[in-house]
Amino acid sequence: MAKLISFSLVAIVPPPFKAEYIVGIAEDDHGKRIPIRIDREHLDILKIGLTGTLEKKQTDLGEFTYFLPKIEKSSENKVALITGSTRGIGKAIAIELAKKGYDIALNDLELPDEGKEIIKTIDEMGRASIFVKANVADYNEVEKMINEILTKFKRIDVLVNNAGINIDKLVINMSPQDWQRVIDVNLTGVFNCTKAVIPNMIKIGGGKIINMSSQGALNGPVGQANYAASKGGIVSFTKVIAREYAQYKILCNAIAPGCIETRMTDSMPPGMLRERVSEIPLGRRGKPKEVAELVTFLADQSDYITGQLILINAGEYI
Amino acid sequence: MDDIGIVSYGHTKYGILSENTADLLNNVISDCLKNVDKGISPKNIGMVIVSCADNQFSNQAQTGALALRYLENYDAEAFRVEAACASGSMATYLARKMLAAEYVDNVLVVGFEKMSRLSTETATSVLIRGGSPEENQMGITQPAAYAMMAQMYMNKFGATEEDFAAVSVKNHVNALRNPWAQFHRKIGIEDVKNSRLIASPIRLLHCSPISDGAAAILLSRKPKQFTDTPVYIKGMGLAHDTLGVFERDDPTSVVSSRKAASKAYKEADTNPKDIDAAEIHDAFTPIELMIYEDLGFAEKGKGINLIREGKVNFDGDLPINVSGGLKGKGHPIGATGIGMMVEMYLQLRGEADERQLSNLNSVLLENHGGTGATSIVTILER
Repeated sequence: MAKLISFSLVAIVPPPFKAEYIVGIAEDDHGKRIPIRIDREHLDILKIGLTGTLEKKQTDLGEFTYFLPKIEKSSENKVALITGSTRGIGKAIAIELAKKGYDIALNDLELPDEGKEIIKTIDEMGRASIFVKANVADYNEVEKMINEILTKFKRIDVLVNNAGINIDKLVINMSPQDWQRVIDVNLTGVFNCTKAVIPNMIKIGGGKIINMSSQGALNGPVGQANYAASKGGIVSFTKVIAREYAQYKILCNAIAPGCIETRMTDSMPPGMLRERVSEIPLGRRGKPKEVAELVTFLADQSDYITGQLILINAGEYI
Repeated sequence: MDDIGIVSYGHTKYGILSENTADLLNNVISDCLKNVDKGISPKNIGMVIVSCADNQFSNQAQTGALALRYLENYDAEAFRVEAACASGSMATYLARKMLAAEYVDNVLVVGFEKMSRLSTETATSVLIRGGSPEENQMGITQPAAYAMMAQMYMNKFGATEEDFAAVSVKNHVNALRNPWAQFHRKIGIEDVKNSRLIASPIRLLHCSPISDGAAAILLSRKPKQFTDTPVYIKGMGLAHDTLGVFERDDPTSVVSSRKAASKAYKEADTNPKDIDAAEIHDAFTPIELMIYEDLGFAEKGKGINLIREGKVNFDGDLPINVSGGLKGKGHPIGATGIGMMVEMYLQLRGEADERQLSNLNSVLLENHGGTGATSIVTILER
């Protein structure tokens, strides 16, 4: 059994290293001292004298000996928070992630009957869930929400910033309040939730943030200046977060769905919907489940995509 | 060797300076020649030893020969030495040996570093070369190596974040009295504790800064020819230890400094109780507490009491780092050890102006490289 002699979290790192890391000195079974690395997720439990094992790992930057502290296996399950998740795409994402074994934190302004069904569905899958009522546009409410989720689950591995609204008008008819309301929910809401979860993601050694942008961020949809600006802002925000927190193994991507079967497209006049579908090469609206499967891929199976905007639109915008 | 003394000095301001390497050398050598009380001809200086830690900072090789340009004596012999942060004292150590061997009569010792050319990250990657190859490969930076020592010192002896911060606060207060110091800014314990994390538990305000600067001293084996008030090098000890902290039995002690001090005390026929003031290598301020113990100013594990009781303050029984130390005055690596000599030369001659200490007879300098692979302790007297 190896013993930890000393350690330090190195915050200012020299090239070629990019990310903060923990170094230390360990004593092996024969009493020989060697320099070691320790995975950042163990930071909170480190203390001089801790016992563990040593393991050599080959990396692109050379071979490192890691000290693996002897700890009780955590029974904590992975947890995903999906904002605006009581219906539509958010609901589909919650169900797909639950299928993948995540415990689910649901959020919305209220819990409609449809939302109560999701809780039941998740429960039937054998996964835990929590619904937290919060307005993502209000940072205090978001902070309370994150604390409530952490109290129950101790961790948040995945954040899907899905909550969004639209108030469609030509700019000439759009009031400053119409503009601000959409920006507050769609863009500031993404900032609020991201800011609030990052400390926990750093603590647990990484995470995935997936932001719901829109095809409207790219193609200048008439009548959606506020919505398109908020969704375009999300793309830029995503790129910054990807760069700032890559060092903590937090990956951040944005998704731009095209025409999906949601309340927003259901409410289009039939003629307009028909005209729009005719411009989609695959000739149909997408299903929330199809968007949810992309989110699930990014959340659960991808460790080498970050800072990207991924379009899911059946070729409508190429 | 008792007769070998310092007879003049040159010293630039430390900080982020507009002067380049050549300017720094020129200025400090010119000043050192001008400051000889009875004057000296460059032809009487038979040797120059230049100290700089890494060419990547200066972007200049053959700095020995470059120094001869400003000495205006190409008949002198010139060397450059390197021992990381101990380079300056290493140059002085060699100069003294050359004088003792009567190879030459007078040696000019010049140290400099032009660190601000590089970004913090690149400077960190240059400084990591002062550690062992294994530490270098693992990314154990100099602050991280000191941090691991500090972590163990806290664990073993109960030192606290406040103790480490108090050293930074003291040295910043002292720097206020030193016009050459890089920082003229009073800081508090909370400022240190809230400063940016560098390598836990070391924060920004525990760290000596990236500095430009130069210092020079003129050593002579016939010092009275040049001044009536030379400062004599009464004892000097050089000792080494492993480069890697991980290779040491007890990383809460700088063994090389302990050994170097023992040699210096023996040669000077003195002991820690007779030391009136000291300049200590506080590259990262937690180490200052450990060095108190290695120099014999406190028992093992009791160094914290000196800072807690204010004994090492400017007005304490044993003032330490009245120049501001590396933390407050700055740390242009190659100049540092020589800058310490200049500080104590002025103190012993009563020329330290606002920061002048009283009743000085015997003073000590401790200057180590890396985390103590090389350490040189010097004892000066009037």
